[in-house]
Amino acid sequence: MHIQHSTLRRTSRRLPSLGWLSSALILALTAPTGGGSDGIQLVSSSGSTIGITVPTSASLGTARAGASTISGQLGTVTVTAAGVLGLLLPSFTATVTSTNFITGAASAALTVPAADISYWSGPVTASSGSQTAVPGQATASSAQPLSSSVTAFSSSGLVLSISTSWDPTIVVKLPGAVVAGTYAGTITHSAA
Amino acid sequence: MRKTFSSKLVVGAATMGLTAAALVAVGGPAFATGTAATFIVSGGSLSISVPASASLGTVAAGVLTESGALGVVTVTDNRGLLDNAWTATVTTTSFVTGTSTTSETVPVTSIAYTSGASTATTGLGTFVPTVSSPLTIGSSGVTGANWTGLAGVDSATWDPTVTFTLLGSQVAGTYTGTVTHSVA
Repeated sequence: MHIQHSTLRRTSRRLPSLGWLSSALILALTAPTGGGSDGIQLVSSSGSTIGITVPTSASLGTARAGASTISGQLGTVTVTAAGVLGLLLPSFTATVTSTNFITGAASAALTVPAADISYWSGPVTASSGSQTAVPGQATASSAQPLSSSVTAFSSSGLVLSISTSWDPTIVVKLPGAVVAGTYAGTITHSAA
Repeated sequence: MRKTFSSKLVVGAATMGLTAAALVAVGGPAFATGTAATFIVSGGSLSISVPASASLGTVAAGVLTESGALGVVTVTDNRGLLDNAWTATVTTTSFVTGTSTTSETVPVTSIAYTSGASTATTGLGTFVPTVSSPLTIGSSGVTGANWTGLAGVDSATWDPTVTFTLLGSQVAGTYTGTVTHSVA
């Protein structure tokens, strides 16, 4: 019995060291590669490994001078998140900002400010991995102005790796004195 | 010895795990990427609408002047320019009755135009009525009204008056002619 007891103790001491090694190996093998628009994977403050892809460019539509709004979809935004086996499940919060939109020489009359640019995410359009996905703004009526950063989407995974996609709509409120031209700006999505 | 060996292994692995996590977390703020988005505001046209016909009044023979309201004139400017200025130009034919003899004619040099103040405007800018009204239209036409521009679409509505200077020998009858508005 004495011998059996010491054998048991030795075995129990070895198990923790094996456990650490095995979890480190699994992290290396399953961490997603690529997915971000330049292939970088980063670990967010929540511990998830995050990737994000967005459309490079988007045409939001055309309206005649004197119209009050232009509305168009940006294209598919996809966020991937990976957790750590035995340690945490993946989650992410995606936020979105906008620059002012300008045409020509960008005087006040040729600028549509970011406060007049609104965003609504709409629902999930594609996903993989069991998750609880929460749209930032599920419908047009909940559109939010991009005068400051807005939550675009968030999700919590129930499995080790998730992917979440949506196709947001941008609504531009045109000023009454808008000048005809092609207006350009940048919509930036972040995920952490 | 075995015990010593295995406990070192535990510490080593734990330290490596922590170090790796710390390095990646410090190297990664929230990942951000931008979409270059555009939208187009297209300019429309500049147009003017005028009454198809107008009855400018009746005077007794021998009265030397007569005026009448032409009806509603509207300029609609959907160009969406940075400077939306425009000018409304007015020309006229002579007004004649019967066989167009001198006493049956009111020549263009006897026909004058007054825009009056605008009755409605939209958009940024200022409506400028006929200068020195009533302004003799003559053979080359006059600026009936103009718009000093600011940005964007605009419109203006006015109801001009046409004034005829008549001859003492002006013959009784119905005089007709055409007053033409254009805008640019």
